[in-house]
Amino acid sequence: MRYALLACVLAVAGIVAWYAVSAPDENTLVVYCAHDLVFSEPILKDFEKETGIRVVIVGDTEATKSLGLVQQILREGANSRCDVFWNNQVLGTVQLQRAGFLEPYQGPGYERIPESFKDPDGMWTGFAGRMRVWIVNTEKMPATPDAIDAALAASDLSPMAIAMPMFGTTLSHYSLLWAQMGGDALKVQHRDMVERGCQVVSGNATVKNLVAEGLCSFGMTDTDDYFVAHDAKLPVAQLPIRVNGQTICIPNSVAIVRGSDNLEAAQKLVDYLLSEQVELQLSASEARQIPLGPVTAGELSPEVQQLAEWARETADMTNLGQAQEECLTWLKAEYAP
Amino acid sequence: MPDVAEGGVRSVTFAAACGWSLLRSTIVALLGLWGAVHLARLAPQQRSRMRFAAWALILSPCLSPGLIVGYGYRNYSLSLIHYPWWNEALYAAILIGQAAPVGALLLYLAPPPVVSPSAVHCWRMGAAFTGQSSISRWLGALSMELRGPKQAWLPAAAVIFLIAFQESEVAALMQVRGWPEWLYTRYAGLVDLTATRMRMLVLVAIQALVIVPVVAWLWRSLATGRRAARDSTRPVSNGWWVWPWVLFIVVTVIPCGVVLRGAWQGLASLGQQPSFWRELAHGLAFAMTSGAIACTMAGGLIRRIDSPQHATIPHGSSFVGAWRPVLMGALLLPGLCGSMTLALLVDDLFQQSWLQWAYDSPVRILTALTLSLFPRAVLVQTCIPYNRRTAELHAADLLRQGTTVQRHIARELEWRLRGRPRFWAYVLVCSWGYLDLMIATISAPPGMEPVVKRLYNFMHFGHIAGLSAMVCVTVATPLLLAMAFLAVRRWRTEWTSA
Repeated sequence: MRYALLACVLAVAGIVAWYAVSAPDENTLVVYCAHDLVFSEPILKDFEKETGIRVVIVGDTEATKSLGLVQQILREGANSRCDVFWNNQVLGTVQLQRAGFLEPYQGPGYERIPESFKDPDGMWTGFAGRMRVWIVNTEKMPATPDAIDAALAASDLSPMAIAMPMFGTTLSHYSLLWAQMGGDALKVQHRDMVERGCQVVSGNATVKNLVAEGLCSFGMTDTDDYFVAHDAKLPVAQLPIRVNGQTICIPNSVAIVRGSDNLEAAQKLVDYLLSEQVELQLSASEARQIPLGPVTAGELSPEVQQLAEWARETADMTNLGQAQEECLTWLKAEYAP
Repeated sequence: MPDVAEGGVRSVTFAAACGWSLLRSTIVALLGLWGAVHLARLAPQQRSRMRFAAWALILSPCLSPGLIVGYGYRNYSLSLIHYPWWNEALYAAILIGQAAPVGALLLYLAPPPVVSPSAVHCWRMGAAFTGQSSISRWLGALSMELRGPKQAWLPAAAVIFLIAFQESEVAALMQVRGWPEWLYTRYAGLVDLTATRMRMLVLVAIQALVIVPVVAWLWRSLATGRRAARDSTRPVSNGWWVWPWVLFIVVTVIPCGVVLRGAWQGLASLGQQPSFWRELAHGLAFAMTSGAIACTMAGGLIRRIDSPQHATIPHGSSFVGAWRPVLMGALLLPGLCGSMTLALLVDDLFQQSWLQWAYDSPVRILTALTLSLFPRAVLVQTCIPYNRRTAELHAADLLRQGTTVQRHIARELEWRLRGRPRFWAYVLVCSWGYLDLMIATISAPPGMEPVVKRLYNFMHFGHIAGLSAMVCVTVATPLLLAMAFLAVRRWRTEWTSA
């Protein structure tokens, strides 16, 4: 028993020492990051190297992309340790803005991003977007708008997959539909799709897997997930999803959380993330994210240039806060009553 | 309300999700108990040298980490998206495979029955002449059986039920419906947690009802005959050996095979991921600390119940004596409620103003992990047979008072009889904490996230060589550390004896 108690004391002492070394101190930036860590972590580490400011990253779980971190900040309230929120979309950030959790900042990074991708008061700024696309298994059906329309009109929609609309970019997509079609029409459409057998799965990556493996013929996902299958040389093709003729480009967004203990460092990180260098880095990554600010000509791959063209036709995703709230209330009642 | 797609995420109420989990767990408990009864009879039939190998085979499915099992079956489960019932059946089969061996172990370790088989036989003969109605005779026989040879069936079924009801990692990766998916969706998506808390209490109440026989069994096992494992049981046909092999292949071999595929190619990429190694270290630090606390608490509890002072106090003869099972139940209850419920409750607790100072510190995750591991530590330490070898231990005590060489032999004997079993019990308990996904996801402080969260996130992208390598390294690390400790100890022993 003596040895066991000694082991306990040593273990607790060890963890205290470990915490003393690893825990965020006053000069550390705590970044809540909903973007895939595979892509975001190297960028944040580069920032650490360049500035000497230590960054602690808190990631989200894949199944609840971004919404989990938004709710965590809301739950933690004034006690949140989050300094900077790097969201992989805009809507959750707008929710934080509406709840009064964000600190305005308009630095050099803010200035280089077009008006349509940032908050006029500087509460948040968008950067590096990705498109909502149809992913099509080319061995199952042709990747054309007509083929997709025909498949959508069929009585059996079981070959189609979508991610659960309560989370991630599918929520942004649904919020746009809510704003444009009206809530009642969206509810009817969604229920009709589900009744016809459309597969509602846990995330966009799962949609990609189902289509790429030929278990479903087509589905809605994001360009970053599509390119994972494309790079693996699986039989897939993509088409932009259009709502009333407009495409859906969903930017990442970055914001400083009100009450940050380290405002100056937080502002440095925001400017860093909004820089041309980071946008190009994200466009060159496997996710092929689309730079939203001006970048040097010839730096983009043909694939990203194509995406950038689609992104120019995007619907305005910055003004959907009210629609998102209403849509989310309905989805919560639908999926977690 | 539209209830369903054919597969994937469905829109269900809490009652439906909970009811579904209850139904599945009940079926798993009944089938699992049937399997456990036979599994428990298989190992004791072996010669003592083969018995250890037999138990290793039988118990390997329940020691296979849920994360690996879920990852192994994730793609196959996706291929069943148009056949959700087959997916459900596969998941239930995996649950039986993981839970039945635990039931078998409990049946094997059960203390001798209060009513002997001869007494039950006599009662049956007597009842035949009393002219009782068939229903009352049947109820009487059932009551006698449950106090007699089948007295461990109820706690074994309860444990199998609890394992099935609480399971959430394999369910998440196989996209199976149930209360964990419902609760986590609500937790991640809602700010107003009042309604969610109420539902969590319903879940705790359901599990508390089932926990009663388990605590009663543990109490009786610890207090009376916990080391009276029966060596003579009704023999079973050797044909039953098919089942442990099938379970071993389905729950252990296939998922491990899937994980190992491509792991070698992925190993090179791990060098470029410092965060992976840091998170690995975080996971180990949390698991080793909480494991040490849980094992010490469990050891203290068992020692207290075992103490001669306690043995002389008849149960219920004093206030303290009467309340001991209740106290033990209260200590075991949080851990027996499952990682997810526990992590959510601890998270809630640390949001209270008087505990907010510790919210961002390791205290939150250590509290959750320790409470989660405590019942398992009690169970594992109950299974350790070291105190049965009283003659050897007495010899070690005598040798300790002798010459330097004799003292050295005494230390080695003590290590082999007591230290080594305790060490492996500690490694096992720590491994459970190290691979606990839900607590890692919900309770980790910023910047100190354990590695399992990263693995779980990557698993959603499908099978990647780098991920397979990460899973292999993650699972192998505690074993390698344990082996390294033993090697160092052995080297030190040889060096001092030389």
